[in-house]
This record gives sequence, structure tokens and C-alpha cells, in this order.
Amino acid sequence: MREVELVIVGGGPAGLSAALEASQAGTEVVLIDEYSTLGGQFYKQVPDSFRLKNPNAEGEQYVEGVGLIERVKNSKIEFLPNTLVWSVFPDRTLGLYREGRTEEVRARKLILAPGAQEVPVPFPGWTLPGVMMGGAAQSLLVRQRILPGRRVVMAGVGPLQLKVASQLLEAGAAVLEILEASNHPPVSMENALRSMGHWGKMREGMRYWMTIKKARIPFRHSHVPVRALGKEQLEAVVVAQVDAEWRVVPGTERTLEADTLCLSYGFLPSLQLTRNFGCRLEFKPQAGGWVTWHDADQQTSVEGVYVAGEVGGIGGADVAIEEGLIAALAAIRALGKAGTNGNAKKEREARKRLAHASKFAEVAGSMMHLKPGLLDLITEDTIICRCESVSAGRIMDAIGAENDFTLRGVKIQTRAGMGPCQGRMCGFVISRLIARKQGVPLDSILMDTPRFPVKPIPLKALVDYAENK
Amino acid sequence: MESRNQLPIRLDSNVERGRPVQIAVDGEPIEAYEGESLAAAILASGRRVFRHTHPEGQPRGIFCGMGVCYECLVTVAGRERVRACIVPVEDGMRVTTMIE
Repeated sequence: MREVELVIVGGGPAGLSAALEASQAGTEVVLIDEYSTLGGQFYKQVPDSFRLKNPNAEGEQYVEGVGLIERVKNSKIEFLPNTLVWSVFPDRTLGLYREGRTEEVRARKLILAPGAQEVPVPFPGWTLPGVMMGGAAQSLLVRQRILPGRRVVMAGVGPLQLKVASQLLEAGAAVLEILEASNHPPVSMENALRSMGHWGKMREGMRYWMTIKKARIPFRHSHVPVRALGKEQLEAVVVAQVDAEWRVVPGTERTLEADTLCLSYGFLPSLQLTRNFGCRLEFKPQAGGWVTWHDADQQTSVEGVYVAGEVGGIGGADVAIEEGLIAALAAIRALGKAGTNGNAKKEREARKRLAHASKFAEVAGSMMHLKPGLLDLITEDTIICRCESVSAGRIMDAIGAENDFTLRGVKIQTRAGMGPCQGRMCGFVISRLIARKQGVPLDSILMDTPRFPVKPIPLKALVDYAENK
Repeated sequence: MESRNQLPIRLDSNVERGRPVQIAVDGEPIEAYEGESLAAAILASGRRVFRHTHPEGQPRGIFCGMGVCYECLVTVAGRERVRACIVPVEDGMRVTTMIE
């Protein structure tokens, strides 16, 4: 089996930052990503076979991504694209699936930077084609150069949807309304940023805000979509005003004819890899709920396994970049490869920048905190587990005995969480439904057992793996 | 076929796509471009429904767009259950939108 000094999983801001730092220090680095291009969901890039006439026109974030990816291409970092980590084994060994085959790689040190997924928020009709995550619309626009729809309603919480809305506007879509669930007007975010000296973030936010204002798009705080209507695909969205706890105010429902509804309710750390390794988790409500615990050097409870970025708590790209750098410095020190005096200073500065970026993440996190009224949108018939088409009614029936606080019980009775997404879409919601029905805090709900494959791979590949063992 | 429409479109500003390739979606020849995801090519052909659930027959399409939700599964000749949002098109691919 191949052994590598440092393996990094995830080519987003955290993974790129870690890989560049470690490679620069002379460490052998293998960087793995499920996508064909580097950059992750933050630095979404066009496919390699596309060419941008003027990359600078794509904005600072895109250009920053191009710069980092160019540095990786000009380094000794070995990038494995289109590669899925389908299983983890003892001694920091990863089972990889790529080009239709399985292989294994053992890492002397391992940095996991798998990022996050968007928060799934169910309501009647949310499975209709045309209802999609904000990130999906953004990927179609930025990566694929496809306009995801013509008449779009935006909904969610926090500043990200302002960005997606302005990108859609610039691409020629009609954005009908922007619904912000919380009662914070965007100006409160701006004030918070100003008070903390986050000028760059503030300028960026203002730019999106101006685009939206100029196009006269209604921005409605304290509003959510309550139902999506349509036969084979989205035809209309019913929206309503909500109170401070996000409960629908009776009599405020309106119907908007739309072909696309984008949902941006925040992010959840992708915990499948760290959970499969048995890394300890901790509960941080403002950082996405369950997150991977790590020490100040980004090392998890499993020796030699480090994390960087969202997997250790939702904090955004600025946090991820510094955590990647700190994890890389710690990993190369543990490999016995450190030794330049410059590293101590570099680390001190990274920690300072991390502290600053974390302050912003805290404010953003508190503003994006989901309120309980959102669960009231769910009706008996609303699909919760999209893979197995399990309704809320069946799930509520399955939440059984008083002392059963586990997702496992629901899973066994209803199949919710047994489909190909392995609970990534429904687990978040079901744990909230259990907590509500049983009257217990969310952190007392036990997740189901992490199992391989981390994501489905063809049975043939699994058989080949077993035969070659 | 009632779901067919011209909703999603390819944008041309500031980008030159890869070389044109041809795929077949449910038997119909579709123009696509090297590097594009299957999902992008299917959407650009005017289709938004990627599969129907069994036995309920509910339509499903792109949802997370990042390889997590498994809603955009399609069948590509020789490969079952392919995530259209992640897998790039290849010249001559035969794609079937799925009824489970």
C-alpha cells in the first residue's frame, strides 16, 4: 500500500491553504477532491475545458481561487481529482474510489477539510424540481454558466442569498423577491461588520445590496416560503410573514408565480469522514450544531488526524484558510519536518488573523440561527427523507418510547436515512422533530452509527476491493 | 414530456465553452460541451425532471447541486445511479432519466 507523508481531503479554501503551506515546507502532499476542479464550493471554478475571456471580471473571490489553484498546479502537490474517499481504515488509511476502481492510501498525517453542506429546510412541495439550494443555483451559474431559471424567488437567512440574488440578476434572471426569515435588516449585518473592522466583507455586502436595490427587488425580512406549488415542476411559491420565532402570521399568505425557488438557510459541517474515524464531536449551536472537536493545533481526538474549515464548525472561508495553515504547520512539525525559524512567526500571525475572522463568524452564526417556527411549516404529508420518500407523519409516529432519543429507531421503522444520501438531507430535520416531540434539548439526540461506504460506490468496485485484499 | 420547457439557458458572456459533444437523453440527441456536468447539459436541453420516485411517481430534479442529496440520479449506459451534478458529459453518452 502506498504511504504518503501528508494526505489532505478537500480542495476548498482550507485544503488549498494547508496543501500549499505543507508543500512549500518540502512535505510530500496528496490532495484529494471529489470534483474535477479544485476550489470547492467557495472558489467555484469553471471546468478546465472552459476558458474565461476575462477572469478578472468574475470578482475578487473567483480570482483569489484562480491564484491559489495556479500555485497548486505549479507546486509538487499531487492532486487526485474525481476521487471519493469511500471508507476509512485504522492507521489513517483511506479507501479511495476513482476511475471506476478502489485503492488505498495510508497517510502519516491526515488533514480532513471536507467542508459543509447547506441546511435542508422541508415544507410542502420542497421536492419539486425548480426548488433548489442557493448553492445549486450558484454552481449552475458560476461553474456551468447556465441560468438555473427565469423567475426566481430567493429565501433563507443571512447575507449569502444577497450574493446569489445579485449573481442571478446580473445573469439576466428576474428575481421576484428576496425573503429573509429573520427580522434583521441587512443594515444590522453591515453595522456589525463595521464595528469589527471587516471592511472587505462590508464592501462586498454593500455591492450586492446596491445591485439588488438598483434592480428594485423587494427585500422582505420576516418572510419565508411556506409551500411550493406545481405538478411536474415548480409553478408558484406561497410566501408568508413570520414573527420573531418564525411562526407564520395568519392572513399574510401571498402567491408568487415562479419557476425557481432558491433556499439558503445556512450550512452544516460534513462530518461523515471524521465520524467514521471516530473523532470526538462537540455541540456548537452557532457553528452548525454537531462539529468535530479539535485542539488549538487543529488535531482531532484521533492522533495524526487534523481538521480545517467547516468540519470543525461553520466559520467561513477566512477561518478555513487560517485553520488550514495552522493544521499544516502542526502536521509538518509532527512529521519532524519543521525547523525554520520563520514558522513560529507565521503561526503567530495566522492565529491572529484566525481570531479576527472568528469574530465575524460568530456574529454571522448568531444572525443565521434558525428559529423553531420553521418546523411548523412541515405538514403530515411533507416528505422529510427525500431518498425513501418518507413523510413527516410516518416519522412522528415512529418517534416512540419516551426514552428513545435516537435517529436509529426512526430509521429502522421508516427507512428514513437509508437511501443513497445516507441521512445527509433528513438527519438534521429528524433530530429536531425528535427533540421537539420528546421535549429534550437537541444535543441529547444521538446520531445514527456512521457506516461505510461514506458515499455509495458500485458493488463491483467493492467486490474487486475485497478480492484484491 | 409535459415538463419540457426552455427554462434554463446557457450564458455566453465572458466564457468560451469546451468543444461540442453529443449525448443522448432518453433517446434524443442533445448538444453539450466538454467539461459540462450532465446536469447542466440536461437542464440546458429544457428538462428539469431527472427522475420519478417509485412507487409514488413524484418528480425530482437538481436540489443540492453538489453531490450530497442524490436527487439528480440518472442512468448512463453501463453505469447505474450516476449523480448528474458531479459527472461530466462524455461524447456519445447515452443517458436515461430514471424511474426507480
